[in-house]
Amino acid sequence: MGNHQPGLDALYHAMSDATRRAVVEQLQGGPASVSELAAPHPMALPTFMKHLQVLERSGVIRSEKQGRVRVCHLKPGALDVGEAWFRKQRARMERRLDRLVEVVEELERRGRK
Amino acid sequence: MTANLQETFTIERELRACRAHVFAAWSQGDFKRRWFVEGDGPQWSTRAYQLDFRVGGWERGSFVLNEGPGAGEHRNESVYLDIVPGERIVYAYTMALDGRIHSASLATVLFADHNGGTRLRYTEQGAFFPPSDCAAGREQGWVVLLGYLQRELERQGDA
Repeated sequence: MGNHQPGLDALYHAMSDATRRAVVEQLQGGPASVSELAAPHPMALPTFMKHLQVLERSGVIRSEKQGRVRVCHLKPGALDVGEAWFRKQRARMERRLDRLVEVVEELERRGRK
Repeated sequence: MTANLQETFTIERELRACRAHVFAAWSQGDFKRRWFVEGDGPQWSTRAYQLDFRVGGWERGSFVLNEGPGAGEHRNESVYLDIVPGERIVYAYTMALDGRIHSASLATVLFADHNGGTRLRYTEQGAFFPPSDCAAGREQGWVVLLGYLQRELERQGDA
């Protein structure tokens, strides 16, 4: 996770819309131009641009001009769901193994009596 | 950004117990249940758990999280690939939420003598599948993942 996290309210708002979620999923495959991102969505370009602005303000994506094309990227760490998932998974196994130590050591103590 | 979809992690524990007892905690269903199932906390309820501990045998669990991010039926299915009693266990498992598999892992558990007790080394090589299969799974998945993210942000906020 990076140091510049989007605020939670902004993040939830950004991800509360199906178009914006689709943009994020598309960007998980790599950077894309505004026209590439807009193509799957049947709406006027200015409307689509408003969705991109919401994502950019919330800190989920950033965009830059490359020549005449505006290219969008996911911000590193902004929504690295894989990393968050693995961290949770590891924490769950740590808790289980702590419990295993308790259970096994209790059995061992009783066995020695 | 490239999503982080594969990861390996290792957890070690040193136990004041002999290897036979530590191994039994993995091989005997009633014993494993006491830490693997009951260690999960009161917000979880167990719908089913069964263990058929032999190479080619399955462990299946169905656990329900009643509320909050990730609420729903969580299902684990493991198949045992290699068992050397008192030494190692290798198994592959998948995890699913409400019928959608979201991860697959290879787990290796090694047991070694250590300071008159046992050192346990658990290594998991996991592949995580981001929600993208169907609209319902995607919606559910986002809710779950935003929940993880929220807890992570809160954890960082506390630090």
